[in-house]
Amino acid sequence: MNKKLLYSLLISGAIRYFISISKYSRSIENHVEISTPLNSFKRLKEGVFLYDNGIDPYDGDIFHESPFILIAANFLLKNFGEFISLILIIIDLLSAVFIYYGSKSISKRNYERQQLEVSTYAKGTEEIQFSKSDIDNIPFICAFAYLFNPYSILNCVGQTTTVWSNFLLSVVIYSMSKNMKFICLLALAFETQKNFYPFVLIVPIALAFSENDKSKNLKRIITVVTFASIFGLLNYIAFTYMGNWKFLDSTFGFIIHCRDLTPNIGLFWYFFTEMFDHFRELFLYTFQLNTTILYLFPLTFTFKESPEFLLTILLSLVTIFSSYPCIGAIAFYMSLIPLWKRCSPFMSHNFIVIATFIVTSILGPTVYHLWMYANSANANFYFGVTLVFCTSQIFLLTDLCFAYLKRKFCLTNGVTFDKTMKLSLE
Amino acid sequence: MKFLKILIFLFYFSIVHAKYHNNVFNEELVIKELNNNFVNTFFQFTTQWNYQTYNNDLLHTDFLSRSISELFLHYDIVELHITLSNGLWKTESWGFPIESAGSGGELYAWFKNHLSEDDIKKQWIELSEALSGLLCASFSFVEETNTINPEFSFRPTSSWNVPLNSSFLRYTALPREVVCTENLTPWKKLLPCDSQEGFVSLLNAQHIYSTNYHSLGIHVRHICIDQTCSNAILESKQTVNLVHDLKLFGGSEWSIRKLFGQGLNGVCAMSSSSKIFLDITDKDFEISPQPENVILSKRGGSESRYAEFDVRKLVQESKMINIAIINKKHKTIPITRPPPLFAKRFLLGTGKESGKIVNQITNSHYASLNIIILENIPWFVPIYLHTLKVKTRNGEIKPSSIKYIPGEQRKRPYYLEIALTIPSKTIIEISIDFDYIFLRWQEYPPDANHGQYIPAAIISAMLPMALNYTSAPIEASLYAESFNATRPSYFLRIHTEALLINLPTPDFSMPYNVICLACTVVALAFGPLHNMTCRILVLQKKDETKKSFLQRLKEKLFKKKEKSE
Repeated sequence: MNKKLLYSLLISGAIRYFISISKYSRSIENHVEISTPLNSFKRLKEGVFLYDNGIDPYDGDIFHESPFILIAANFLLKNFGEFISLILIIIDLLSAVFIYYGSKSISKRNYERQQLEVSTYAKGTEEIQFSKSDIDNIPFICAFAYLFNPYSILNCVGQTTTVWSNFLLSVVIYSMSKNMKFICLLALAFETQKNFYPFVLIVPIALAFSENDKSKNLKRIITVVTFASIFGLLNYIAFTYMGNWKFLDSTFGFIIHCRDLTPNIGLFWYFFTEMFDHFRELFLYTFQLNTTILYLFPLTFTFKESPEFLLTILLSLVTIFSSYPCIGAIAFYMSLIPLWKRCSPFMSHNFIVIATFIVTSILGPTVYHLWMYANSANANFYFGVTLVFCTSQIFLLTDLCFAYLKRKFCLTNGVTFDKTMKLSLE
Repeated sequence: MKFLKILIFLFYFSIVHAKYHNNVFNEELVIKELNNNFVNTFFQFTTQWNYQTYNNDLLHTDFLSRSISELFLHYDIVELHITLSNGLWKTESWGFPIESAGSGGELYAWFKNHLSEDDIKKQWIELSEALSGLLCASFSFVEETNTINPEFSFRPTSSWNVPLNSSFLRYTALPREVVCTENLTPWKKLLPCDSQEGFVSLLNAQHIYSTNYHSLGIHVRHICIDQTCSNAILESKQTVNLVHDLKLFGGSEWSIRKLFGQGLNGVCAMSSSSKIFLDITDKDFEISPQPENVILSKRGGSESRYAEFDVRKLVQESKMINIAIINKKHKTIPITRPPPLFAKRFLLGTGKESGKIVNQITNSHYASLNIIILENIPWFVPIYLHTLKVKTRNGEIKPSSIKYIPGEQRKRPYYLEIALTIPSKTIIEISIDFDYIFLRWQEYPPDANHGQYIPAAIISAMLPMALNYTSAPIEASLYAESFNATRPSYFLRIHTEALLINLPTPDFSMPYNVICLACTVVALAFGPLHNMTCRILVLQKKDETKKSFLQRLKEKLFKKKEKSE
């Protein structure tokens, strides 16, 4: 482990620790941007308490975590209840370490892939090619982006279960890049059980695992089937542990039907608050399709030569359009964007995106406070801010996709071209 | 043959006999002065009807209203309790009520034990709909979403041949219900006498609804006479509990005419007794007319005196009967002695994000008391059981038992029952955290910013002494049976305040705007993603003919000028 990373880990760990012991930790924990009904620590405690007292936590309306999180939290809260925030900090730092090593091997693979094709590249494109030093630089930027992102710091201090899912996702990325198939699929199955949406990541993973194979399709099918059976097995284990299937409706059903309309940073809450009852189902399923499989196949065909890029895009898509998004998940996909550092010359909306991120991050909690506490604003204000926040995320996402395509084009056709010519989609 | 004839005759005789002697109707009025110039009047109309359970006899009613007996026939109920009240009974200064009721509507019923869970569900909804029509009250709002079956707080008061457990009980409270004339008129019609005759004639809407507290009640139960319950009594108690503010009547002296706007015009012809009991314990006033009888009631360590008026006798002397309190002496200021147990309920927390429901219960008795607290919290107020705390000044108390069924959105309420012991002379605070949630816009009631009600908590206790206790024993039919009724313990039920919480509201005027805006954002992602996945990047010649907006504008302006020149 290099020294820079070690120092970053220590410093960001210290930041997390000092904020979590400060008097602000409680109010951070209760913020709607950080804690959603799906990941809040308060609900986790309630679930564990009910489970401990012989009441099925999935019977009620409070607890929506997967049974494995329930078991783990039950064990942790009982035995290490006082150190829970420390444990979460360590897990968060571990995620950063996994992101570091995962992105290291992804960068390495990118470089190797480039070496195979470099002869076909145009002259003067060195600027946008992966260089050897990127293998060391990029992982550190990724880990740094995760460690010092205010979103991930707040998420960790808020003790949400998104810390766990970020850890699982980082394991997915690490094991995918290292070709550790079983661990990768297992982690993804756990994460799918918790958040449902990440199941789409099986596509880039299947692509990555079949890259150097002869019978690619067979391999891909095997990966998907293995994932499905691991996922089914996990649910069956959960069933035998809980004694009934109620947890399925309480986790997946709760996510798909968006039953809790508490304000959050996503698009769902106000939309389905104001929805007419007879159109509810239609829009619900349309939105869920939009989040999961609408873009899955087109994007797969477009970016199939780089499963890692596909993974970044899919992960950010499901985060933006999920029914209960939180800033912890956003922090995670943002830490993967530096992997595509060489695309940055083609990204044109950087200023707009960064500015709206900053403005909405400040404005969001402010208008929320005005609405809930000062009674001088209403739901529309907060809705407006979340709308702009979503838009800026979408800009970031589409900008990155365009930049990737443009870079690919320029690598073969040269960076400089006639002023009378223009790059456009046809 | 002769034997058979005799038998038939005997049978016929018994039926005729039954027709005339199996119906009993009693009117009672209890009047009690409360502290701080308030007067409590409590009416109780008791109808008892002995009928045969095996041959659908329930349809051939005499005194009892057929609409009530039909409920029992159709919905297989053993026992039914309805109260409709408005205002708050201030237990701390007024003492225990004769009959406690939560504000708004409250309804609970015990069903027969042969019914299955689903049957009870169905019957309960149908029953509440029937009652809704019968009493012009919003009992049609009773659904699975606001119904619970409390395990400890309620016990059947009927003597049914098979003991019933709580799975046959359904309880609901409608705290939003506004009680008024439209409930009183049908309520009166259930009585055997016309509303112009007997004690009912005092109940004029105009005077009842200007009181500080009013509560209408209907309590119907079965009492089996034999083992097989082939012969049972259906007993219906209709009660009215009122608290009048004497300040409105100009002074502390009062009379029936002042309180109700008219005197009593006689008795109901069907009644077998019509009595007024006036509490004169430690009171220093004269009564006109003089009571013919004073009852001394010793009950569980407390002594009280009641002046008894038999209206049947009084009515022979004058047509209009009025009982008045005169010559009140104001030499002493009464010391308010709070009852042994009373409770307050309030909300804590600022903002509309999360808050705390607090029940503050005071035990002013010198011994510890065992109590049960029942919370019935609507589904839109999610509570966190792990935050439940029972605090005293010296630390926390551990409840001896907790029964909790978590609520589910749009399905069932949160039900919480806590059994605990309050140490002597202690105030305890039971607090639990809750979240304010956001509902669908069509789920908010009209006038959404008025807020939503959380029903009252119910506190039940077995008091070891009858100090301040005024209710009749559970098995008693008449209020008169409460005199000298010493028991090992006295069952007490009190209701706390209902709470009003203000949920955050969406903007009700802009569903279309929200739908359009949110869909636009979705389209913002769809457009570019669709473009880049379905097309390929190419180098294209810039369209020279395409000019910028400014250029085109300039050209247009110039052209216009040229033309005008």
